[in-house]
Amino acid sequence: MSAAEARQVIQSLDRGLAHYSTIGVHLYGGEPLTNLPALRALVDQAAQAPRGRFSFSITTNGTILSDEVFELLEAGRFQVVLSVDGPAPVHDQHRRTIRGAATHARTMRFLRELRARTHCWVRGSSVVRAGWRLADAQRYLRGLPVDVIKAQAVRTAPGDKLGLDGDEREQYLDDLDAAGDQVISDLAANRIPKDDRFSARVLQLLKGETRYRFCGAGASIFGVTPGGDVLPCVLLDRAQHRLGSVADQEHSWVGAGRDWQESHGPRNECGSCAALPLCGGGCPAMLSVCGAEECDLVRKTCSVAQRIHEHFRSQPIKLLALAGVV
Amino acid sequence: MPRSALREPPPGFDSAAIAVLPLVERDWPVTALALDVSGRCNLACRYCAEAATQPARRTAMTWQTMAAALSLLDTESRGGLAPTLRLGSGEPLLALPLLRQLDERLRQDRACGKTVPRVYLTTNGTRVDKQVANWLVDTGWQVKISLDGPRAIHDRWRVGARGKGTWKQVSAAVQLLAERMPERLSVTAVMCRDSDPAAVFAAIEALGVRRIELVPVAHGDADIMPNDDDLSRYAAFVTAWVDRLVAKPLQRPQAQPIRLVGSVRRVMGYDVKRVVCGAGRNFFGVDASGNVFPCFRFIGMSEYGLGDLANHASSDLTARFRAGAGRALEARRACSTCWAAMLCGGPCFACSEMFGPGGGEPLPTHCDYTLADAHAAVRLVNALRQNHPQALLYFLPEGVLA
Repeated sequence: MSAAEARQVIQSLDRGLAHYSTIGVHLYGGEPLTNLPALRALVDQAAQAPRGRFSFSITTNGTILSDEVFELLEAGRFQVVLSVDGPAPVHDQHRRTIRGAATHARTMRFLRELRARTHCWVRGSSVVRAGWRLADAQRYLRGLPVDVIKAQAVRTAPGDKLGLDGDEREQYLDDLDAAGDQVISDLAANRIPKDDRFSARVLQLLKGETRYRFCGAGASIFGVTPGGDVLPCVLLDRAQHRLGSVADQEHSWVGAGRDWQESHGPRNECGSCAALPLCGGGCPAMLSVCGAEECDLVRKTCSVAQRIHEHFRSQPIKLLALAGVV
Repeated sequence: MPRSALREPPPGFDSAAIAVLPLVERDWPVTALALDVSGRCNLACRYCAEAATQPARRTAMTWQTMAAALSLLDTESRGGLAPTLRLGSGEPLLALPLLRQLDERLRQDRACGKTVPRVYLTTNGTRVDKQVANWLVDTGWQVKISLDGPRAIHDRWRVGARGKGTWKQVSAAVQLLAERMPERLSVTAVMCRDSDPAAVFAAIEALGVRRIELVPVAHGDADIMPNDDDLSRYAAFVTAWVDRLVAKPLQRPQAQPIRLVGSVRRVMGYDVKRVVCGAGRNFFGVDASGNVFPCFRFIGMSEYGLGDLANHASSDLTARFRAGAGRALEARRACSTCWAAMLCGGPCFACSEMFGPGGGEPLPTHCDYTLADAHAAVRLVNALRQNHPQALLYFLPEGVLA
C-alpha cells in the first residue's frame, strides 16, 4: 500500500461510514511495520478528522525495532496486539525471520521498549498448537507486561501437523473451562480479567440481546487490501468476496457490503444449534478452513460465557468489569 | 537524467509519509567517538579533505588518552546499547601497537561481562599484510578500506608521499579481507572528475566486496570535483542498478551501493533523521592529544574545538555548534525547499562548513548525487511495493531486522 492509497483509505472510510461515530482501523499483514510510510499516512490523515473519529490497532510480530516505529505507535496511540507464542523454545520453533533467525529475544525487547517509550495498550497473543497447550500459553502471557492476553488454537485445515489432535482438543476445551473459572474469580475480586475472550458474549447475555450475525463483516467491518480493494473482512478471499475499491464512490462498496451480509447469514445447520443466539452463525472466513472444529470451539466459548453469566446472576454489577468498569 | 529533473520529486513520492518529528535538543549521552589514533597518514592523496584542514603532523595517541575515551563512553552510555568507537582520520594502522592494546582491553572487558564498544576501523589498506589481516579478522571489528576502483582511477588520486600509486597494495588488502570477513568489510570509493561509477563499482565488486560506498569528493579545487557528465554517469549507474533489481527482484546482487541502499531504507521510513549524523550531539571526534571536536573531520580546527576528554563537550560550545554548523535541515535554506530532505538528513556538517557555499548551505554537487540516489530509491521502492513487496524486506536496516 502506498502512502497515497493509505490516505485514500482513511478518506473513503470516513465518508463511507459516516453513519458510525467512531472507526477503528486494525492493521494486519504480513507485518504492517514493514510499511512505515503507509502507516504514517494513515495516522496523519486520520488526525485531520475530529478527535476520536479514528482509532488504531496493529497486529505485529514485534521484530522491527526502530525509533520511527515507536514514535509512530505513540502518535497513533495504537492498541498493539503482539504475537508471542511462549518462551523462546516454543516461540522460536516457528517464528523466525526470513533469514532464519530466532525472534523471541527481539520480540521481548520490542515489548520492553514499547512499554517504556509509549502509552500503547498491549495485548499479548499466543497461537496454541500441537505440543503447546492453552493453559501453558495463558500462564506464559500472564507473566508478561501486557494489558490483556489472547491465546487461541491455530486455525488450520483438519489433519494439519500443527493442528491439535483429538486428545489435545479435549485438553483445549478443558482449558477453556479453566479460563472461565479464572474470569469468575477475577470478577468476584473486582479485577478486570486479563483474558477477555468471553467478555462480548457475557455482556450480550447481560443485555439480553440475540446475535444475528457472527460479526459485522460487510456492514460494520470491512477489510482493505494493499491495492485498495474493499472486502467484508481481510480474511476472506479477494476474488470471491470483493465489494469494490476505496477509489470508488463510497456508497457502492457500502451497499455491496450490505448485500453481502444479507446473503451470508447463519447456515442451515446452525438452526438446530443451541449456541446460535450467542454465536450468530460462525466466522465465515474460518468455517471454510477449519470446518466443524471451529464450531466446537465457538460452542464451548459460548457455554463458558453462559456459565460466567449464570454465576453472577444475583450480582450482575460484577459483570461490568468485563466492560472495563470496576 | 539532467540536473533540473533531479530537483523535482519523482511521481508518487510523499515526503510527509516519512517525515519524523522535529529534532528536540537535549542532554545527549555520548555514544560514539572517532579517534585520531596515529595523528598522521602515510599517503598524500591528491583530494584529501583532512590535509586541507588538519595540521600535517600531530602526535600519536597514548594509551592514557585511549583509556580516557573508553572511560567516557562507558560512563555516558551505561545501561544503553553498545557504544561505538571509530578509528580513522589519519591512518590508524600506523598506531598498530595501540590498536592491539585496545583489542586486548576490549577482550578482557568482554570476558568480565562488560558491554564493550563496537569498533569501526577506516584504513587506506596499505598496512594490511597477512598478519594484520589475520588480526583484524580475529578482532571482530568492522573494517572500511578506501579504494577508488580500477588501478587507473585509484592511482590517479591515492598516492604515497612520492606520488606513487597504491592500488596494488590496497586491492590486495581488500581481496584478502573480502575473502576472510565479507560481512564486516566495506569499501569507500571517492568519486572525482572523470571517475566512472560503473567501472569503479565493478572493479571493487570483482574483488569480492559486498558493500561499496561511492562518495563524491569534497574539495576546494573545482577541477577535482565531478562535473555534469560525471553526475549523469552516476545517475545512469544507480538507475541501471535499480532496473536490474526490479527486473529480477528475488535475485539479490552480491554487491550493494550502500548510499543508495541507505536512501531506499529512508524511503521505506527507517533511519529518517533531520540531521545527517550525530556529530556534536552523541558523536564526537577526539584528536591524539585528547582534544574533542564535533567529529573526526573537524579535528585540528581550533575554531570548532569543544574541550577535551577530561572536560568533554563544553555545553556552551556544543550548544553553539548545534545551533550553527550542526543545525537541523529545516534551518538550512536549500534543504527547507528540497523534496528529498528527509531522504538525506541535510549536509555533512564538515563538508558544508569547509567546502560549501557558506551560510551552512550544502555543496550543490553533493546534493546532486544524493538526489540521484533518492530518485532511484523511490523508483525501486514503488516498483517492489507494487509487484514484489517481500523483496523490500532485504532492505530493512540490520539494526531493525536481524
